[in-house]
Amino acid sequence: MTQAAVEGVFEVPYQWVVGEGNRLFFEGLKEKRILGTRCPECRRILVPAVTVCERCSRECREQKLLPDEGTLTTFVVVHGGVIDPPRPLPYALVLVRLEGAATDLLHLWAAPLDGLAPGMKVRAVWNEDRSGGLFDLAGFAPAP
Amino acid sequence: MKRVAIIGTGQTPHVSHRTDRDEPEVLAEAVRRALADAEVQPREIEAVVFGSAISSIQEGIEHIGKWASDFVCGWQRPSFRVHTGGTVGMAAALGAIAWVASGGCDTALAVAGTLRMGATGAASQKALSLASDPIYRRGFSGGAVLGLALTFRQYMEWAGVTERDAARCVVQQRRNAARNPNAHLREPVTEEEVLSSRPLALPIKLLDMCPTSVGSAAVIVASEARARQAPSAAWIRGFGSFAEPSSYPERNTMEALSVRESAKKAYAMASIRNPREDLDVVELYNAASYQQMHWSEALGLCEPRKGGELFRSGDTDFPEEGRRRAGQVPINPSGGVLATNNGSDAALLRLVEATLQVTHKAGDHQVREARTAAAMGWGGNQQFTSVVVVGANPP
Repeated sequence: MTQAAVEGVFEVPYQWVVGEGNRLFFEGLKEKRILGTRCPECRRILVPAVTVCERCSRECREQKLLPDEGTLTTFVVVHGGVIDPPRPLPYALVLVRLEGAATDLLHLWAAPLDGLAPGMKVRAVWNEDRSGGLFDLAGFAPAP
Repeated sequence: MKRVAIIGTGQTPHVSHRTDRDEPEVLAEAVRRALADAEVQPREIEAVVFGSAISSIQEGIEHIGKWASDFVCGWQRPSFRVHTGGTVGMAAALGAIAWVASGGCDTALAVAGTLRMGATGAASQKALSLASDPIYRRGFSGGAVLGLALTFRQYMEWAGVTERDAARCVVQQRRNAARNPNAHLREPVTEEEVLSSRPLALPIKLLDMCPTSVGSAAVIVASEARARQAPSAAWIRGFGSFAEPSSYPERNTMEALSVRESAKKAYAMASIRNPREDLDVVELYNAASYQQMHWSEALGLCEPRKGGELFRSGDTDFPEEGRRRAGQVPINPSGGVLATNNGSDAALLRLVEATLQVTHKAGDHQVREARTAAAMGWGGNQQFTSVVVVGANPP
């Protein structure tokens, strides 16, 4: 009898370079600072920090420290799928417009799921242990 | 730019799985159907652009175009593969159009499709998660629907529509798909079934999303001289293509700028001043339920924030007996991406369906006397958009 399908498995280890913009951002998070960059042409403050403005194609070198507080633009509640790193379900992800920023920041919701409403005031919640990575921020919670 | 026309289309019926043929063989099916439709011999094809949006990791094949080339008229021709995410089918067509419109050749083939083979089970989902950049966004997970879910909620707030409005869009599209023998999901659904379907990343539920379908599609693009000898021709009247930022949900302004600008450019080329009146049919890219409302606005069929109102008016439903009355603009008589999506041919199918409409080959889902139709493609990380207008008359 002929095979209908051939099987195979790969395991591929990867290393991805963190890059200038993300490195700046992560070093800031270690110090409990949320850093953006300003485009010299359109003057928008982009967060997380990026070294190229997507609209102007200009190099963005001017760093801007953003406040810990902002407004919730929107949110989703994740119920399934491949969750990596693992997280208890359901959890929420939020887009937050920090004051002065021209872009929303994507991160976790670090508070109970009920009461999430677009337009509410929120603030950053920091992890005690920080190592210069994305999850130095535990996420966002309602502002006091 | 020289005049060009689509002189033949082909599509396979779309299904959940196929075990009878491998991917290149499935692509070859659409090619054969398009050649037959156009009454063109394979040797007349002078260039081929093949579109595939399925990742190397997903397929376990680094560049499927290398394998597929023999099966899509690639031998001894310029044979290119393009990848623009879910809109790749239309990008492939634009590639073929550019070849012919530049005077580079008289007859070119655009083909797209996939078997969705390769990674199995959870590994397949993991492969899809690779669409996000590895440093920042991938760690949040939420799957491929995350960006759509963020935009869906934001759109509801901004436009004043509800999940129920979106569910009604699914009901309408399934009803349309029932008239399309090549669509994948053709069974009716109810609003309640959509609203109570499994939550993915809320507000997105399972039935708010397109399926994963297996199949392929192809179009043959020809120069004016060649088109005038062909049994039918859908003339390319206009096209536009624009890209959004890579991290689109974080830069979302609700205005769907890339869709708006792509449409504006295509309409200007096609001398369309009032899309709602001038277009007989619109085939738009609705990967998620709410999108037909959002895209209706950006495609100029109604004012911003009025996509829900337009839908509720019934003016975008398939008209009775296919006869379009004043004020009506049927959206996706084919059932759209919500009924059929293999990620590679979905955008090409919009152009195929627009072509079938203006050449009066759409059978049970024909809008009678359709002469001008718009097709829209969309994909990537919510970033790549194209709009093409086809017409029964040359420019």
